Amino acid sequence: MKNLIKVERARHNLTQEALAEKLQVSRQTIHAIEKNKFNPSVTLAIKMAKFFKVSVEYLFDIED
Amino acid sequence: MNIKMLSNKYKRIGLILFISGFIVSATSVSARQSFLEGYNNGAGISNNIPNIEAIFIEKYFGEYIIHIFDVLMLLGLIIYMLSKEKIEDDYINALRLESFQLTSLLTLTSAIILYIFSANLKLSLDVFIGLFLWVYLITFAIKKRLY
Repeated sequence: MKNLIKVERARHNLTQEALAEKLQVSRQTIHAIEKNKFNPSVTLAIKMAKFFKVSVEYLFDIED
Repeated sequence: MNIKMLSNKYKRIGLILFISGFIVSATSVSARQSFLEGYNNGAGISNNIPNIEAIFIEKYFGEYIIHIFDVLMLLGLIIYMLSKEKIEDDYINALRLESFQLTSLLTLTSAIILYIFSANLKLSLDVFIGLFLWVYLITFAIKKRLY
């Protein structure tokens, strides 16, 4: 699954640490999601989409 | 992981228990004797160890108290292992599960290898409990800091 977390994070001028703090997760989680090493839970995906004010489908997409 | 874990403050309690157990165990007569024997053998010095006197807690409560502190040391590690991180989330849970899997495999493999090469090998239980706990804690710490 590919995602645009890194792009959105850069757009909001946030570090991994700052984003993690805002979403109440660990920095490692943000890093792992950005590197496609970990697929977030539905709850976290919705939380992220809400935070960036985008849709979940825009933020996460299944690779062909 | 769905098992109930202790809160983060227990990490500190576990660490205090482990350190106090370790200090008393490491200063026991048997530990100091084993250290000297190992050091002398390694350095090629003859093994004429002078009579070692009991110090610290062992001096007042006897040899049996050391066993209690050995148990306390392992208990401290178990409490540390079973307490939550400052921030708990799905990814940390996944890392914990991976660490448990790897630790079980490694401990089992080392036990089987030891058994293959020496069927009559006698080791006390604390060796395996300690090995399991340390391998788990090191694996989890490495996995957490890897990213």
